[in-house]
Amino acid sequence: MTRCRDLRGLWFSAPAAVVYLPLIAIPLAYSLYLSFHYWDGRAPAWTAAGIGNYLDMAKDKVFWRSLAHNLVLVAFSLAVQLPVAMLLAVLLERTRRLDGLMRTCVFLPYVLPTVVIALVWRSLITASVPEWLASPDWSLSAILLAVTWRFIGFHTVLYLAGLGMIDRQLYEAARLDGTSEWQCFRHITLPLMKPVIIVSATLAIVGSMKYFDIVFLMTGGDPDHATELLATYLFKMGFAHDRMGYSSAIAVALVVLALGSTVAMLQLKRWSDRRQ
Amino acid sequence: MQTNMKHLLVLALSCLVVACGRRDNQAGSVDARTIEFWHIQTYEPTKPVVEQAVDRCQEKRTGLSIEAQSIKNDDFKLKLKMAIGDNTTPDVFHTWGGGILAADVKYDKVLNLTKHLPPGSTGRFHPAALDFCRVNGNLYALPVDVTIVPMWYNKTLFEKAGVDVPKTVDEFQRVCTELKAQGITPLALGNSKKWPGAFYFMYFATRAGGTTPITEQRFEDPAFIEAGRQIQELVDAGCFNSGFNGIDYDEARRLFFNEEAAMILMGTWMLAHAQKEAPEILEKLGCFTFPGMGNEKWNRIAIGGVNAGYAVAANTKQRDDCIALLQELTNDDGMKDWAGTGRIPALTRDAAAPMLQPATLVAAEILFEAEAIQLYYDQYLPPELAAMHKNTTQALFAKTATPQEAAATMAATARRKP
Repeated sequence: MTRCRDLRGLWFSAPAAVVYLPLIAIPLAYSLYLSFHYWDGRAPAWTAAGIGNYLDMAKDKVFWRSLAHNLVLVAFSLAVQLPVAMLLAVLLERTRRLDGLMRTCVFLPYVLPTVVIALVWRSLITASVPEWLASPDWSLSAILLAVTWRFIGFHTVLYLAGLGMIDRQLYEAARLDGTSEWQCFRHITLPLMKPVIIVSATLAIVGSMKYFDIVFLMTGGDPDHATELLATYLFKMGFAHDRMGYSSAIAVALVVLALGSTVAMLQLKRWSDRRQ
Repeated sequence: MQTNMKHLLVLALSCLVVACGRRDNQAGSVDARTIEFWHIQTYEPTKPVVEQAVDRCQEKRTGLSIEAQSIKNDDFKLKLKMAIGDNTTPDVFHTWGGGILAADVKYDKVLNLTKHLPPGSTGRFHPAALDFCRVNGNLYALPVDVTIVPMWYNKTLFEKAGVDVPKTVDEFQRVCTELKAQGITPLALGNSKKWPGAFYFMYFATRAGGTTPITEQRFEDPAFIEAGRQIQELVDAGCFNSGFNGIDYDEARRLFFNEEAAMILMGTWMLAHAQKEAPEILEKLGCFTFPGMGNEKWNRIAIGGVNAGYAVAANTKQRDDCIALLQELTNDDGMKDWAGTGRIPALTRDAAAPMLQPATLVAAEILFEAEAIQLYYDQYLPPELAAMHKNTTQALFAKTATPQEAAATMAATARRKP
């Protein structure tokens, strides 16, 4: 009986496997294999490279700069985007008038097509402050702005859902004891929101590590790599510079980083759960 | 339960097989042949020109149907590379010649046309354009369109500022300073995609050292250092519109068409954009050869290339049909239509001149008078060096690299194996 049930379970995972194997697992393995070779995208055969691509990566200043930009994106998401999203969620939760409209406004950027967002931001910026996107020192800040604007609504909605699950009675009891607004937030809202915060932080970290589209469309990683991210850099290395093996090596590094941060966040969650 | 699932799966699979099978059955008579054709003319007025050539070819060759796909420039580059990588190259495809064509030829992906064209049929093409379609002396593509990069200027703005067309780099700098003093942006530039700024680099380098530094790939040659220095001097003097590294060619040419900027260094394809977007600018539009330095011969070299040529896949099953399409695209009918869009057909002066539009004629004169045509570096060099050349040039414009550093990066890229 149990055996039969197991087999049935396998059948149910088949649709997922149909998508997962050819679209994720096999390309991933292929990339890993390719990262140990040189290939210009045209030659009929690959040349064995050993760890040559990884050595190139260690010496490549642009690779490290791109990684640093990804980390800036991560830090900005955690330090600015998520707190602001939380603030918006708390405010929206209390709004009584036009709350539907306001929620829609906050969420709207997330459902707009990325191309629209990138082009609108690009034209807004080039029309008002043309130097901004062209400046090697400042262009990254324009990217941070656009990316934050796009994703803040998503995190706000996550937090709104989380807030809705907190028992109102807790706040009423606290009020009776004379706690301030801040104390309510600090000692009731935040601890109870922890699972949601961890989920949203994980999504923000992984999302920032593998981020691509708005940057590619707004600046293409330029000027002179000032807004380059790992994903845009690996795309360029593969498709403009014809270094497929090197591009795959960067992709492998990206997977390791994204996977590593996910595992770290899960560990963090487990550790904090245990502490309670 | 399990058997039900199996039935369902079998049913689903058989639907798939039936659906796939039906497509194959459509092929009718034995004589029917299909060739696939990829080109990059996605908008008026050049798209209809290609489509008409395709129609003519289908009419002439019974049983032939041509599946033409019009793909946007950047997508095309990517798509073609993928297709060539896994041997699904379209039978006939667009090419710019030069280094990318050479890279594909290296792995025998492109048909050598030398043996398959009627003898003497290539004499009418512009020799420089044909050269860009050759690899190791063999012809791998037929050119349709040849372009060069003149310096376009607004005659009214020049008159208003009281400046004349500059002949030398020194005069050029003085003209820029004068225009700027009168509140006119001297040079319109949109360099976010990197190729428009590269024109300056190529011209300065060619004026300072001719063509041997690039053909011999001596990237630390003084000519390249000088080119970097000249660019940064223009940047320091504020000769370009603000934010030039953040906007693209579409936005930059608007500055020129709106008469906010007096000059733009751009390929002859800009005429087609002017006709469509700002026809009123045409009568104020003039052009001149990029200003020169010490060597008279080098001063008459123009930067240019083949903006559209067509090649055949080495593994095509319909070789004769493909060659017929190539000839239809490049015969006098095709070339006349092409010239009608404001482009310069890739023919000798005598063959091309009667077809040219008046606005094109001025720019074509620079082409016909040129001592030689230097192919755009990013099309001349192998792909990796080409991409790096555009990166380092943008860094020069952004002043994030000195001329020496940019040159050293290029040299290091050239040395790296493989």
